[in-house]
Amino acid sequence: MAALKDVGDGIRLAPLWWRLGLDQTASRFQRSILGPFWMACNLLVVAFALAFIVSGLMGVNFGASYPSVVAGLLAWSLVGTAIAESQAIFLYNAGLMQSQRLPLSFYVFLHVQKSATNFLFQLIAFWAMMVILGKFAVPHWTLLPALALELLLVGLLGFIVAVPSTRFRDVAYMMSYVVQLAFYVTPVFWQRDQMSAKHRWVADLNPLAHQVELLRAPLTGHPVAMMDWWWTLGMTGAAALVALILLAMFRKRVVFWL
Amino acid sequence: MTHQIKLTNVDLDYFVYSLRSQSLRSAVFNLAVGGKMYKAAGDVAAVKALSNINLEINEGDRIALVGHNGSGKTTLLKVIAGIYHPTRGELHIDGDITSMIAINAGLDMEATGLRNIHKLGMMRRLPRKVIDSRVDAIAEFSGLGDFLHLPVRTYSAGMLARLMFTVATEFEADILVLDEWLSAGDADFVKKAGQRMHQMVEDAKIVVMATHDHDLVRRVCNRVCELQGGKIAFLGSTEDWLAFRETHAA
Repeated sequence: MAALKDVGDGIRLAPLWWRLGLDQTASRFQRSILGPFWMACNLLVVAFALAFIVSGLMGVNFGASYPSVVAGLLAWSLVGTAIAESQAIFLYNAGLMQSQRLPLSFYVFLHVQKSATNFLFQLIAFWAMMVILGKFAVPHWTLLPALALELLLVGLLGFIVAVPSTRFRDVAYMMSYVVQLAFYVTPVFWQRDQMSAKHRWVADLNPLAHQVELLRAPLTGHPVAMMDWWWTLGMTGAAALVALILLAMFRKRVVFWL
Repeated sequence: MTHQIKLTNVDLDYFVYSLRSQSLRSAVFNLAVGGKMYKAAGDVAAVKALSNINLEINEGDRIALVGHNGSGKTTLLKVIAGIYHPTRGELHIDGDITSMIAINAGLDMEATGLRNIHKLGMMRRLPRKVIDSRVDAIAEFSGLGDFLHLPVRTYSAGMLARLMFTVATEFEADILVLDEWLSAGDADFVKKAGQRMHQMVEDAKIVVMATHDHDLVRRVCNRVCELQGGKIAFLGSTEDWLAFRETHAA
């Protein structure tokens, strides 16, 4: 009950985490001219390199695979990178947590806001690139509900990662490796049907693969497969349950772990 | 609406996690050996930071928390500010709290003083217009003037104290919680700050302040709570406390 109140208080503070999120994003890129577009440049360049390698290895056309690789990486920024960064949700805000009374969920919403801002900049770069390449596809309307669901999942999974990362600092370091590993076994820069049938389960039974697809399909103008909805909804339900239990158990403790 | 802080039988156990216990390896070891070996080595120390605190602070009180280093002053401030939840006991608060516990809390050291004023105001959920309208007053009272255009990392401790105190008191708050950093300001500023706190009390507000500066207590506070090893050793008016000090010092 107190855990739900914590979430409610966090939602009521929306104007605050909204402004603070923008402020933290701005100060992260202080004194740089391109600012958050650096992240976007990174996306385009990495996608270029990966698409080049993959098209060489698999013998597919570079022009055909590039949009799919960029869209996949773009989706990964929410599915993977945001989760890797969530280890610092509480550690980054340690000063604030020790000086002002705010619900624990506040910091999670703050993280979601920053991830969404970051995603938005990359999305603009993605569309700009697609227009330049003449490959722009009108996004499917399911992009909006898919994005909402993914952001909810960023918050839930982020909280689940942040709590043990604050208590056990090894988890914080481990997360970047776990996410990097997950990146290779998830069809982000490769495609499910490029995998041999024997190994295809890696993509089929990987919840992250479905989460990536949930964003990639509408981004490239296709409707989302029902299967991807079910997997992601299932993940969200399970994550919500775990997050609520963690919140109820450790709500008062986290501040002592900083 | 009357403002009040009320603590009833508040205990706070502070868990100190050593470096070892913050690593996963020792937790895994704990499982493997049945949680005895490493726990016996005392990797998680539970410190009873506060025990059985009963304290009622009413409107118009300027209460000083005094005591040796480690007696629980800052911990009590943090409980009052809602940062630490009491392990046992009840905490009841009526009113909006502004806490200035760490001197650099919420400051962005790279940003200018001006930007930090906005940021601190933002953290208190004030509209931009209200913050803008107070900037001049803050520049004047803090005496920082043009220094507000410099990044905060170039400030001295005293300048930081000036900035923080001024911002804390410039925007209305029902309850003001301050840690001892105020004494980092020079005599001139501490005097000015004292006057401002008197002013705040005339507007029927509560100030809770931890300090080592007995002179400051005498000038600013009307009540004193002395802590000793996490317990209240003395609670009463400033005059009584000064008398209590006399007898105990002798």
